Amino acid sequence: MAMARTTILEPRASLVGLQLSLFSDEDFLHLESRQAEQAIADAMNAVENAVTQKNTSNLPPPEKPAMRRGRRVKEPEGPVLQLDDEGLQFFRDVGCRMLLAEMVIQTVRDMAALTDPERCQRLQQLDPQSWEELQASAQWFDTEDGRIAIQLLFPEWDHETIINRIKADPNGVINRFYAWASLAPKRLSKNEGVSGMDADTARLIGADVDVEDWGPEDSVYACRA
Amino acid sequence: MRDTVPSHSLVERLLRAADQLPHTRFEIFRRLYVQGESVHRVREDLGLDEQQLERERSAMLRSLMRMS
Repeated sequence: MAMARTTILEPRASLVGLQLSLFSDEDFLHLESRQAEQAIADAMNAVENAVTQKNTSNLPPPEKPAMRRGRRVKEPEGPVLQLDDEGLQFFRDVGCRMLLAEMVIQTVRDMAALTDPERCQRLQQLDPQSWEELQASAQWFDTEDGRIAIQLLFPEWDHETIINRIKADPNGVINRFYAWASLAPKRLSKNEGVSGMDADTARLIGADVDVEDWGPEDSVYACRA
Repeated sequence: MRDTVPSHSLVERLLRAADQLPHTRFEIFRRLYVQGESVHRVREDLGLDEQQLERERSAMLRSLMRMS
C-alpha cells in the first residue's frame, strides 16, 4: 500500500514530480509521446524560470507585507506576519507554487488513504482528530483554493479534468508519484540529461547525490514501470 | 492560457494561515517555502528524524488547507 511509504522530497522536486506524475502517462491526459515529452520539458522550464527569473512576476507589491524572512514578528495592528522584500518575492515566485504542489500531493495521499477501509477504521478509533483532518484534507479539491492550486500548477489543462481523474484513481496517481520519487535521487543527479534534465536542473530541484552508473536507458519514463 | 502566478490574495491567505501554525510547523513552513532551505538542513536544524519531519510537514499542509 502506497501510504505505508515515507517520501521526503525537496519541495522543488515535489513540484516537478507532481507534474511529471501526471504528464508522464499518456493514458492520463491522452497525450502522444511527443506531447508528453514537451509537457515534461515545459514543466521543467516552468520550475527553472520560477527559480532563476525571480523578477518576472507582474504582481504589484502587497500593501502590507506579511512575514519577515528569518523571524516571526507580531505587530499590534493588522497583519501579524511580516516578510521582507526578498522573502516575499521568493515565496510569491517559487515557494508558493512548491507549497501548493505539496498540498495537492498531500490531498491525493489522503484521498488514497480513504480508500483503505481498515486504515480508516483504525485511525478513526485511535486518533479521531487526525481522522477528521484527513477527511478534510481529502476534500480540498472541492474548495476554491484546491481548484486554484490545480489551475496554477497545470495552467494549460482543464482543472476539472485533472481533479476528476485524481478522484477516479487517487491510488494510481500517488503510486505514480511515489514511483517517480523513489527514482528521483538517481534520476535527478544525472549529469547529462534525458528529456532536458541537465546538471543545473538537477541542482535546481534539490538533487545532491552523485551517481556514476547512470545509463542512457534511464529516463523520466522509468517511473511508468 | 490561465494565470501561472499566484494571486496576491492567495499569497496573503497562505501567509496569514501560516502565522497560526504551532512553532515547529511554522518553522518548517518558513524554512522550506520562504527561505528555500533544503529538507536535510531543516531536519538537522529542527532536530527531527525523517519520519518526524514527514509527520509534521503533513500536519502543516493539512492545517494550511483547512485555514487558508
